[in-house]
Amino acid sequence: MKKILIAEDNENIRELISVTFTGLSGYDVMEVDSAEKAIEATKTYKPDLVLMDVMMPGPIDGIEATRIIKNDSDTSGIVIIILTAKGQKQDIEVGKEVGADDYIIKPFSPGELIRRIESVLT
Amino acid sequence: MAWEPLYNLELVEASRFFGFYEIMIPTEIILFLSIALQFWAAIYALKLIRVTGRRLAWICISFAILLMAFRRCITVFRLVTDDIKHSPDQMAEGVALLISVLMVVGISRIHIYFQQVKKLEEERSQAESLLVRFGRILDHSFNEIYIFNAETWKFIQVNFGACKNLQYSQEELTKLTPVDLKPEHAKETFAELVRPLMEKQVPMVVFEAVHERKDGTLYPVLVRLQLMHDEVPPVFVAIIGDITEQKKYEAELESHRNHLEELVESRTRELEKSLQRTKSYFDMPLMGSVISNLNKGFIDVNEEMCRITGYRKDELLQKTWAEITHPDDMKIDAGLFSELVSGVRDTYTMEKRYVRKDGSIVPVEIFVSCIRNEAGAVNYFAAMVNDISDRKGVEGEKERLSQMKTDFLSTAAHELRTPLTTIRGFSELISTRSNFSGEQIRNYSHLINKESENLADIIDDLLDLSRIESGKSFSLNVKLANLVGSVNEEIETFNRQDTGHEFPLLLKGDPYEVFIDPEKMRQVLRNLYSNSVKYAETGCEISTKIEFNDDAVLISVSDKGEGMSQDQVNRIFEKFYRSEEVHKFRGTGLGMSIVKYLIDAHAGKIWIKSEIGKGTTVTFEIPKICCIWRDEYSVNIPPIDDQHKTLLKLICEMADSIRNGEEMKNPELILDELVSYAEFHLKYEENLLEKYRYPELLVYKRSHKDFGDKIEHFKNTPKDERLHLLPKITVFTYNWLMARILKEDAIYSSYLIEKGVNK
Repeated sequence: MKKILIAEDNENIRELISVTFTGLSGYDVMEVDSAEKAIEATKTYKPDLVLMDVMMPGPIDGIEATRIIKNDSDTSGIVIIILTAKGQKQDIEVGKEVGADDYIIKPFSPGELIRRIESVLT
Repeated sequence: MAWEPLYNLELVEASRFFGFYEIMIPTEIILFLSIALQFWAAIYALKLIRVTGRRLAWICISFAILLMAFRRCITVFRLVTDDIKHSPDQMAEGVALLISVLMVVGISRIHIYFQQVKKLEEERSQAESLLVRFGRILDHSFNEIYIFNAETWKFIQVNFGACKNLQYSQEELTKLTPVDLKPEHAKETFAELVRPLMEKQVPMVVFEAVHERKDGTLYPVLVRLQLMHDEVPPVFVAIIGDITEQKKYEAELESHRNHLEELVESRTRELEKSLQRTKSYFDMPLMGSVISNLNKGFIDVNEEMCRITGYRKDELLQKTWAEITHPDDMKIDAGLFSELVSGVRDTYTMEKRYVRKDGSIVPVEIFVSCIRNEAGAVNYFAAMVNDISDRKGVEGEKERLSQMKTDFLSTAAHELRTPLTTIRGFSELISTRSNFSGEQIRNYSHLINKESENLADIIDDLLDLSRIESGKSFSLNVKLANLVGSVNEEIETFNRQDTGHEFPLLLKGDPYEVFIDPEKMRQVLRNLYSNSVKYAETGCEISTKIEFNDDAVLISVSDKGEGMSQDQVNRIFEKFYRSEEVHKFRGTGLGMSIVKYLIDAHAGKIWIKSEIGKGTTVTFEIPKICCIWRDEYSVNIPPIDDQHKTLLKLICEMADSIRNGEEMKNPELILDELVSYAEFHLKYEENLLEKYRYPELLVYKRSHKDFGDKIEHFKNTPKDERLHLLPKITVFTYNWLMARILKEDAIYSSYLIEKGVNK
């Protein structure tokens, strides 16, 4: 059972991802709506993978959260996929710099999302 | 010989007495000596004729002496012939010798005397002739020479020059005194003048005076006055020269000198002016001015230079420009400077940075030129220094705007991609998965629908902004409408969205319709309400107040939300602006920019009052007077009112019939429409002018007046005549209205907008 954490402030997108995993066996999904909650959840929920939105309200954004998670020895093993709506090269580069394992540009295809998750988790 | 006995008697006695001579000196020698002396005396006497000129006397004397000499010669002869009887008495002969000696001495004395007398006489005559010549010369000198009594001042003697100059005769002059000749002198002043001479303080006084001729003409003179104390009576001698010519030269000289002085003065003034001008250019606060030397040291700087560099003038004068130039710019500057020094170039311009006194950096543009002397050596360097912080600031502003645009595009992309993600994701899931219930499918479809609406809104915003910005395809469809209706409709919409807020509405004043584009007005209201909804907590009031004033309608939307800082308020209308705090809400940062544009387009004003923690009130004003629209928005200006529409129609018909040479239809109707409409239009435009007072528009005002005068004339003309005037005024009005209302009003309104209606 792979544990997936969804960090996304947009309710509709959270629901979309959640629905995407519904009916697929082998995944447990948790949703949070801010970067702080995502960091917290990596410690309590201990997910295998985080789908991290970049632009989220609050003091820190998805990039910063990724850096924190990757720099913490307890959580640095967690795979992080950045979800970016900006789709600009610099965001992707910054994401990779802070340790993100992959990135997915919005709008994405749910099928593609699953394929990417499966590929990074195996 | 009769005289012999006497002779003998006398000599005998004497020879007895002097008997010893017989032994000592032989008689012959005495005789010879006597003869020689008597001959000498006789010749001497003859010589005296020449000296004294008394010929007869001296010949007689000489003859007498010669006789005596002959007598001695005979005696000697007798002695030689041994006639002893007649041997002369030695004693007597000795006396005779003595007498002879005395005679010679006497005659020689007389000779010397007369010679001296003659010499003296010659000398005197020579001196006299010199004096005469001198006197003659002096007499004919052009200098006036006067000798006058030291006590009475009456002229004793005057020379010919004086008579000639003064045109008086000698006789006339002797009756005058120097004071009579000098009109500017009275006795007292002349006495004062000669006092130093009288008191022997000075040997001579020299003064200038004016002499009056007999005919009353005047001429300037230079007087040299001396007092001869030794003369009896003492006299003054005055030697006076006519200095008219001298004065003339002096005057000429003086005028030349004055001219020169004036010239020098004017040149000096010009130079000073030019210097002042140069100085004033130098001191002009627009640019820093610098004079520097070969060693890069400052010689002079102006105030602006001090302002730019932050140093005081005295501090700068102790420095070199190399010291205050940014090290990174020094290489280029020094390179150009050395080229300037070596004469490769005359000037150079560069942008560089100064390190100010406080350590901050100021960007400047310098223009340096080398000032050389005639020999080509470097005198100094003049530099103008332009502070380009502002320009750099503008460049910075451009960069900032560009950054904002990039940010905006990024944000816009994000905002577009987010709803698109939902749409794409759910539509893919619905189409690829078969395990969804009908309920789920309906829900997801609803989500898709909602997000697509959201997407459409965002796209609308973007398009609106781009249209407004380009000013091309943006159109304002203005019509007379009830603002209250627009507000109510929008409030209804928000109420339906169930945001959890109250939307009370307060009306003030008598409502009237205004010219608005109702759709655009609702867009404005929608933006304001959605902002308030975002920032005000659920349950809060979002109140709207509509105030109908005399000249404008005021609509204000207030919330008791988070409020904004003054900085945020100041920047709220900037395009793409989103404050940091705003990021937690969705938005393109365009809403308020669009609002501002729309209100501008309605010739309105918008302003915001906000306080952090207390809430925000946005107020906008739509003017009651309708036709002020910016033409760059391609406002579709409708006829101003129904009356106007009718009039236009009538006038168009009228114009057509006039052109076609047809009979006018309903001239009376046109006339009435025309007059009442023109009155209305003029009145409200006059109001506009009164309100905004733009002198540039006085041109318009005059044309209004022209038209107004025509209308007045029209109204006051008898009915029948008015009909004749009608075609003329109709054509005029037609042109006037078409031109003004359909075109010029738009220009007019843009003028008003530009000049501050929206400020």
